[in-house]
Amino acid sequence: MAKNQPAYKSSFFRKIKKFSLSAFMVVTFVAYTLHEHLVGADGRNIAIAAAGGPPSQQVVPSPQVAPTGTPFVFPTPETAPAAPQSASPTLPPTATQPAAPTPTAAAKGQYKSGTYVGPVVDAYYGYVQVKAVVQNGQLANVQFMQYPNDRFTSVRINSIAMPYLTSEAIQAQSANVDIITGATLTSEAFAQSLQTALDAARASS
Amino acid sequence: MPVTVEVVDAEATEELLDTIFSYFEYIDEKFSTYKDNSEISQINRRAITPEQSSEDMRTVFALAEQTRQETNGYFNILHDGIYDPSGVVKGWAIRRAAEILRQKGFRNFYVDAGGDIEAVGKNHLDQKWRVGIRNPFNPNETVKVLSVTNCGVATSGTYIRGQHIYNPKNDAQPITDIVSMTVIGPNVCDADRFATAAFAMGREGIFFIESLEGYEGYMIDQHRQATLTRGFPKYTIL
Repeated sequence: MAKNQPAYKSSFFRKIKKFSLSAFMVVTFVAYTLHEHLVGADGRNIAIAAAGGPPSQQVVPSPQVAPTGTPFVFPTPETAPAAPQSASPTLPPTATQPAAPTPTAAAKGQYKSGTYVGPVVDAYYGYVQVKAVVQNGQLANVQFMQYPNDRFTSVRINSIAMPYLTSEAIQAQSANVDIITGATLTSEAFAQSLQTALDAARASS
Repeated sequence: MPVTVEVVDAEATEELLDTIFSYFEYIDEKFSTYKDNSEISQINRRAITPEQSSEDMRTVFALAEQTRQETNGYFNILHDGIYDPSGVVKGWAIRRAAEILRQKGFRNFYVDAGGDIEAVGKNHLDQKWRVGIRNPFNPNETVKVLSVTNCGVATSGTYIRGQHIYNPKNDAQPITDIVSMTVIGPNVCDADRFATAAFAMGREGIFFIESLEGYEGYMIDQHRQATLTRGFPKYTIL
């Protein structure tokens, strides 16, 4: 029995020791992992920051530019060169441009208080028109009076007033048809006479 | 204006087709603004007033006025004191020609005048009529194939790229980017009227068509991008 007792005891202590050791190992591992995660992340940030002060600051704005900039790239290759034009009308900064000349903006980049409606601008995927509200010489609000209907950003807003219509690139079809519908001289003449009439109206005004 | 009439029904005769073509000649004599002795030219010369004109002329004027009101002024046959009802005459004449055929008992035919179509019944394969939408950038191509019956299809537009068309409601803003507006409607007359008005509306036109019950539209802009009304795909094969 006695012999068994110490044996038991020693085995018991050995188990405790083993347990404590494994517990320590586990805790250490977890602590190390946590430490690695935290310090590792910091370390990366520091590494970028170390590359230069200005680049680390650019990291912050760039994710904001991406979501607003990306949707303006129209899938049609033709529009690619004009992309900067198409992007600008929807952005609030442009709203201040049409508004600025009208109230003769003050030299310090301040505007005369009031509400200014910008021109309707072709944004390639639709027309854009904004209303700028200037309060205390500063741009206080920009409201969209007209927006394109085929972009994700505008669909949310437009779906209330207008249905969302799908769009597709036209493609030549080779299937046989019985009849063909297409524009004719009649409608062209209508459009041209309309234009002439309106040109005259503009000239006389 | 090229006119095509195809009657599938076996009873169709050459004489029948002559009757239809004669009808279009009558319409042209009466409504052509290019003919000095046409009735419309007499009205524009102030030789007669619209009220003194023939029943057909008064019907067309009434239809034009109805369209002007329905389109909130986007459709107007009066420009600078000159009446040009061509935007409404063609569709109206096609529908009348189709009525003549119906009254004579024909059930499967189409009447096409200058790309505007009234399609009735089935084609010679006993299928719905297959109507291609011409590519505004290449007249030899079609960009969409429709399958239609007992309805009208009309397209308004231009093949001239970069042409500046002005929105009558906002004439400071040129509409440069719509080249073709195709409308499917209950008959060619109404489809034509609304296609013309929708085209004048520019990009907003497709929403005007969307708002009309029983009409579907396919708008092509100068970037070869098409916008279609929600119900349009149910008429398309390709």
